[in-house]
Amino acid sequence: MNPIDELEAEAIYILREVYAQFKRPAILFSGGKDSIVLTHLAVQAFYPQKMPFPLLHIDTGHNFPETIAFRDELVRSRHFELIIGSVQESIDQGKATEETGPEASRNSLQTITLRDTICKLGLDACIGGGRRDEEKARAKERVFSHRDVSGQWRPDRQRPELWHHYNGLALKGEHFRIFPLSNWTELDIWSYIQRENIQLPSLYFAHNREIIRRNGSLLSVGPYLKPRNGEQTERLTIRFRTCGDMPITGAIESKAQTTEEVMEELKLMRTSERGSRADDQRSETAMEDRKREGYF
Amino acid sequence: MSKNHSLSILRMIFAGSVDDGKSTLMGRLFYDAGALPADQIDQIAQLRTLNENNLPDFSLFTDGLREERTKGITIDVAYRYFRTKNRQYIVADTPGHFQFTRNMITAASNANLIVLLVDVQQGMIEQTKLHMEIADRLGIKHWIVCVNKMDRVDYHMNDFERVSQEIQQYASAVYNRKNISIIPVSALHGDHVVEPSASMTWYSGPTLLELIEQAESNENEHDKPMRFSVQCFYSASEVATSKCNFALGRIEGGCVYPGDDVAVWPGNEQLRVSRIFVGSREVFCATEGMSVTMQFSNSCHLSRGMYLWDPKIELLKSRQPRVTVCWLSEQKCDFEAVYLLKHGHNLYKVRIQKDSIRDINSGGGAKTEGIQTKESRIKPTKSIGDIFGKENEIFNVLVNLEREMAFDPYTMNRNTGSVVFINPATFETCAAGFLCPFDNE
Repeated sequence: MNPIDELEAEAIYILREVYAQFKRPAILFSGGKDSIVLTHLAVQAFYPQKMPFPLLHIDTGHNFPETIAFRDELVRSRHFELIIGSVQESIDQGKATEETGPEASRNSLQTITLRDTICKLGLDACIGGGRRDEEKARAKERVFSHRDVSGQWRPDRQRPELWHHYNGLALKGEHFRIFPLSNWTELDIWSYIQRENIQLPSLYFAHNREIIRRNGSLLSVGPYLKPRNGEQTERLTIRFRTCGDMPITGAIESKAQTTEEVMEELKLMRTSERGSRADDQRSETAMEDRKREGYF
Repeated sequence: MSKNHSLSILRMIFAGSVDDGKSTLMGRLFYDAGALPADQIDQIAQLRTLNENNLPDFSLFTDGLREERTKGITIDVAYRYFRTKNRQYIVADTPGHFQFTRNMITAASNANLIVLLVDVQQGMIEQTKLHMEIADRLGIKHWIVCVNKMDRVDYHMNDFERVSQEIQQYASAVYNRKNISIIPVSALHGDHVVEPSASMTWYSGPTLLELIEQAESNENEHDKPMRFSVQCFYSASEVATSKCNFALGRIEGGCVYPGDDVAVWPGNEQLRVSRIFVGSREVFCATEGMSVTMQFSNSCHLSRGMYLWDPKIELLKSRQPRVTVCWLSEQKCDFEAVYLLKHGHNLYKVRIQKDSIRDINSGGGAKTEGIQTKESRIKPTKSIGDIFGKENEIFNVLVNLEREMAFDPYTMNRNTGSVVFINPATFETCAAGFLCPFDNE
């Protein structure tokens, strides 16, 4: 098998295991390319049956409008079930407190809404698009990743995961995060997008946008991010490599307008995908800390 | 995609003892092969001062968790990805600490190549032997030994030769591996990692990267008998868009074509495969590792856990299979208790019974005599009294099942020959098991 066939086969196998082993699984859908590929794989895994998982979107309210429009169109055209967990609602209910200060973001608040939604819906498996090549804490996570009753990841207590025996047995109140794309790299994702002709939000391709430069990142000017004193806005041709919240997702200067051009660009690129994510740059172990708390 | 990229992915692991320099070697390999992203290099460079070569401390590259960074150890498997012009690699960096052997097994279970590190100043130690034992048990095809820290012995050939001979002798005597690749390296300075070394002109063999590139991936062995495990089944009535039955599952061995007759386990039924799909695209041959959807000419009712198999080469069937167990849990094996055994998509309630017969599938072991016979590995038997069921212990058991299971010996097929044991109280995976062939085989 060629690498893409092999990764596809592995992901399909994992998705079928989730369907067979769990009572209430859902796909964590962010509107980013990885969760779009994941959803496509889930359709493939059960074809010609209907894709059996609902999509769960934890909506911070700070999304790119392009992401939301894409999500809604996908759900409408494919007749998927969409569940939205709203961070705004968590804030309104007093469960989450908005951060203050110049670097305030809703990124870590998502964890509260996510844990709450999992609990409310009684989900026993959340399928995520996380990849091990993204970040050093993710590089250590199992495919079937156990969460204890309080929703926490215990990296030192991970179950051994051997061959293709995925152990999804859980005690009451525990759940699993499942990562079918664990072994995919950014370039694999794009190869698959190309091969399967998967549609993505326009953010992933070169376009003209008003940005400001802050801490080495190119950030999108919008309702949640205004220039501070002394900051100049500029119009640049950019694209996004990842699509998180608007105020923290850095763009890269790029002229790549097609999947093929993006792939060519990536082959020459010497920085990692999450290098422009402000949420990862908060500390050396930013991702591990958030994951332990129950982040995606 | 160039045609080279159609080579399948090579999965490999790095193993060695504490302080042998595994993470440094991996970091160095990636760095020299140009596969380390610039921002990750910067991030590491910010953390600690540069080393004597003015390069970042590569060991921090795989030590991802806070505790690992503060204590300077690796406590869990880190997976890394890199590609060369030739093909793609998945690399697992495995912990060297004895208590973390379970993670090495986890990482190694799907590997085809192992890079074993030995410190030239220490030579072979117990850990090296344990890692070889696990690599052999798991059936890892390619072994490469890096004799590291050659800079500490001023790159002397004699020191390398001494360690190299020791390893070769051991591997040959205990595992019947006559020609493993052994190379002198300095991970710290990058000697023979990607580039040949100017300090060791006496060594003219390939570098580590060259050896890795030469290793064959596990190109499917099509001569294995066909095995298909059913993950899910949809009967015609459930599939609105079609009037057919569908079995979703994976080819666990061999290959299958439309028109083939296959047998069903359990039972005596035979089916004819009519069409095969990968997702929505129809294929005309399915080989090991493929996740497919099968349709049949006959009407049938299958369910999760069933096997479809090549009727010419039967699955073994038993209610008391012999299993070589590697115990992974801190909690000792309780020979009175009930465990869950996961094999394919079946879960059995089992009791584990000590078994004195040792190593019927050990390959080289039985043939060995002489200096190596002290190794526990090649003792002709291990008496029942020697079995404790402790963490990291490897021992033989008979497993008493409530119903018959069907399998292949592990040595014939990893997929249908492996099991895991699960603690029914905590649901933690507590042991890995290798199914043994029947005595008369």
